[in-house]
Amino acid sequence: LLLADPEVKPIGLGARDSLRLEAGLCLYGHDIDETTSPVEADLVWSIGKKRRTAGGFIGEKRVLAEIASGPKRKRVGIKPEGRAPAREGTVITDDSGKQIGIVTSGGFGPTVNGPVAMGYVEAAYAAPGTKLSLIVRDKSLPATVAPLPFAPHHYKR
Amino acid sequence: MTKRYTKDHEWITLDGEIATIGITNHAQEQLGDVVFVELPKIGKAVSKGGEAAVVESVKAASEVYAPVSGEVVEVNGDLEGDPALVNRDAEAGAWFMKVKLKDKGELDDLMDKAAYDTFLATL
Repeated sequence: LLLADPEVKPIGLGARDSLRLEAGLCLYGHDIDETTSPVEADLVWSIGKKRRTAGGFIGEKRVLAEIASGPKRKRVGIKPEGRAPAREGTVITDDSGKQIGIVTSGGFGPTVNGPVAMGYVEAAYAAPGTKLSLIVRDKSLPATVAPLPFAPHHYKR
Repeated sequence: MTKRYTKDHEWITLDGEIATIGITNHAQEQLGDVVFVELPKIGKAVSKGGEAAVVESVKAASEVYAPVSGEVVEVNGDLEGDPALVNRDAEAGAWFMKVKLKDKGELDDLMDKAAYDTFLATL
């Protein structure tokens, strides 16, 4: 029925994945899992306002402490400078080569017409504009911390 | 020389002792939109079956294996600025590299077009 509309075409997981990555949305098991906190993942909006101060939920100890004094690592958008995509598992280093994080989702963003990624970095490296290096096939590629989303949202939350 | 093919979906043609290597149209179709190609450095020694280049599509990164051993003498710079050329013209304009052959005998166990088509039909 939908496919009878000339503007509707079937898509697969690749399209779904590039779209949600450009929109800055987490994929569970990749960008968030049982080790990440909502504060690290920049998802504090998902915790009710009262609970953010009063607690009263599983994991409140860690979450409240991270809200108060900041998390150790943060989920950020990452824009590789060249054309080479950096995929999940790519090691992120500072300019001295020290590992400071890891890419949790990465690929090619058709809307921005270039590679895009997201991942976790130590909090000191989380500000947009911070220079990072991505280790892709043993080569260090320059990248920058980028604000999320990469492409403007067209949906209501 | 007529074009020859590998089971890893590379093609190769020979002019004197210089072989031109690319990926097949079937490979291109399977990859989907190609967004990045990493080519070897000129002068790099490649060995038959070894990794020679990387092609990345929206879906995944894939290795391109050298169908023969030799030394890379030229790479197709057009692919850096226009990786989608691989989708449009995989078996001609979007060649990846030219390799100076070490051993022409290595070509013997590659497939001709008919054998490759038969192989594709089994996939």
